[in-house]
Amino acid sequence: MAYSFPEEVLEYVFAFLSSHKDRNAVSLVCKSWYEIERWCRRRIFIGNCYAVSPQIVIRRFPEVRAVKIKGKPHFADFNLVPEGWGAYVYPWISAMVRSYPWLEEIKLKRMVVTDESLELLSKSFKNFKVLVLSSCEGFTTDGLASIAANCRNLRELDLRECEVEDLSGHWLSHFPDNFTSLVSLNMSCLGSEVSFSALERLVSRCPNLRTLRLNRAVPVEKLPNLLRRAPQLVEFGTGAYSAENQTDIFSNLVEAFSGCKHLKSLSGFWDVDPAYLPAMYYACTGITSLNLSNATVQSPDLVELIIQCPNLKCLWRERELIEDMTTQVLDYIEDAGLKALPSYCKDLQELRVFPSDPYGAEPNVSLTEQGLVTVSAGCPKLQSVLYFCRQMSNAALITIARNRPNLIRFRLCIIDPQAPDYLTLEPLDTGFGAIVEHCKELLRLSMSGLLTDRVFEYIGTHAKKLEMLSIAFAGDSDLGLHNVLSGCESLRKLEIMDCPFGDKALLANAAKLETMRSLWMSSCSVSYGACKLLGQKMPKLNVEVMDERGHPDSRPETCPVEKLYIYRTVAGPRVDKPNFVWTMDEDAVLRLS
Amino acid sequence: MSSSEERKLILKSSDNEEFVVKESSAVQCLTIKNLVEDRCVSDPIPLANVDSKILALVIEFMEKHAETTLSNSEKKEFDVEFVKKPFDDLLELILAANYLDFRELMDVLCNTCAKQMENWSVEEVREKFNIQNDYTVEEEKAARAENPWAFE
Repeated sequence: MAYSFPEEVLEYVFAFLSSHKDRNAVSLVCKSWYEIERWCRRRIFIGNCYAVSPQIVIRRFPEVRAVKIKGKPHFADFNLVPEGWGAYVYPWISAMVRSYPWLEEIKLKRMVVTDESLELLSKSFKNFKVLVLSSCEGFTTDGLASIAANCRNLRELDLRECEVEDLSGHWLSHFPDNFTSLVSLNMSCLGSEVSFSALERLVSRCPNLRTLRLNRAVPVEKLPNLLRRAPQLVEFGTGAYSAENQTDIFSNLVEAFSGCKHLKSLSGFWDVDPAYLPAMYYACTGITSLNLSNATVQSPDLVELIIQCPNLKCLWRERELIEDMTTQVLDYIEDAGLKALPSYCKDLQELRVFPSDPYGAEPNVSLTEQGLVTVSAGCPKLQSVLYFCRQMSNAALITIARNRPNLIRFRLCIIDPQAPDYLTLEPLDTGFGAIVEHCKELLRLSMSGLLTDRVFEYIGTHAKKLEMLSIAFAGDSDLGLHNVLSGCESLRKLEIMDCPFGDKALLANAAKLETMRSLWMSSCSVSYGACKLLGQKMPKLNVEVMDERGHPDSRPETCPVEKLYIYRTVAGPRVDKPNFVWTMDEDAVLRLS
Repeated sequence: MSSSEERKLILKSSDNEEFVVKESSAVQCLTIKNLVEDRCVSDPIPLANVDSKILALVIEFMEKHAETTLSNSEKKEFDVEFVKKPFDDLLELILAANYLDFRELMDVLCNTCAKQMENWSVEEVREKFNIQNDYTVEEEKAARAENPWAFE
């Protein structure tokens, strides 16, 4: 039966499509659907800011209300992307200011955001509501002051792990007295002290505030006043959680926390004094997410805290309350602490264990692979793992894989590069091989330890759903890279450092690169000549060589490049490159566009 | 019992079948509500765009949602069962709900429709909606590249 769908009906249906992929699919059905869809798309996601230009986006989608843009490659987190590389948000904001006056939401990850950008956005978007900056840099607290002063309808200001030049805490006082719309404030990455009276007044007059993540500079004695003014909080991050011994602080904290009956997430906990932890116990009903990654709390205190969350104890009874059971801890939790986890957190979905002393020569805590094995055995819903440790064995990995075939994210960081199986001194190929073989839905994998080409054979054979792979100091030859590129059908992001991968595999699998978002290779063996060839062969890719030693022409063609970043794009070569980045065969690309 | 609760309307489908409904249920359809408020109600009300099979289903939903004795969760349970229908029927119901301007039914149907469409390929969407592809090969190729490269 042929239907005649009025435009408004299609728009109505499209409005319920939640994923970008589904909206993209309907846009391709026929020309009229393309038109209808592009006029009613309100939210866009741009996974690589250089894969498309603001002009192209605005031309296609004229009525956007929310944008999410990602900039630098992931390895920027490990300081592998030099200063000045790019990912500037200013061109995006200035273009959107002209074309999207009703823009409400901007979410950015790994982008450079200047005070100028923040000021421009704060003065131009009259209905601006949500600003989330993850791992961004380039702005100061003056930029935040503009946001506070000018965004009259602001609901969310969320700064996650940003590098902010902290000029003063005065920015918070710029929220006007009649500003009451705040729902979420995350200032945990800031250093300086804000005016506490301004903060208290702000919290008091915003009845819809549900998320408040303070910075370290807010002392524990200020918490009761804040909590009393916001008993409706759902997510709370403390500041420094210790004080000189003052018993009335403790009782004030107990009273204040017991008034917070809706808390689901706790974080913060810098400089924890374990004596103050029990003050929180009354608030722990309903806690599903605990981020203790700043807390240098010893294992017994940690376990005590976890036990005291009554809802965690009753997970098996009230499962419908659990949305996202996440636990993030430093390795102070140790094997003993992890051992206790399954008894109290049967619904644990995500575990992240960070190193407390990654550069220390000797282990300062008793955390081994056993902790992870225990959690994998006892927590049937565990699907996401980030685990730093000093030793691993194939046996442990195989056990984990067999226990938890439902894993979708597995990131293992053995602190010593190329550390072998500590029991057998063999490579960890079979261990990671078991992970990809058993965990058929694995989306993200990050490996470490001693690994040969064999592990890549396993990955190419089994990791069919894998979307993101991170490798360092692994493999013996190009065969390793070839197996990944030719076997991993769903691969979107591949990042490689310090592996002996060269020209052959890359050139042989050039076409694969158009099916992926990006490839990063640093300190590998890809020659300048091969990069040029790749650039010629694949005009729709930006093949960018990054080398701080100067132009690659000043070295032989066979010389390996320092860093290589390749990504597909509809926007042509970058126009804002720094002097240490070159696009291969740029002229050819420009001729084509 | 006030007289408006007892007042009935007759709705006539495109294939000439007549359905008696309570006015208080029927006014959930804004199209009908407007007729009632403007005192333009004819007897019966002809619904040229809705056949009897679909109209019967709309009325079933309408009457369930008008029942004051049912809780919201009971209505939601009904909705869950109600939408378990072949995709074609859902599409016809959406068109009817749009014509009748029945917002609540639209929401439930479109939400269901969108959920079913999750991860469909372009070809699947075309097939299920019965839409002709009018792109040229070149045009489609260009559009197909832009989507995943830029917007996913």
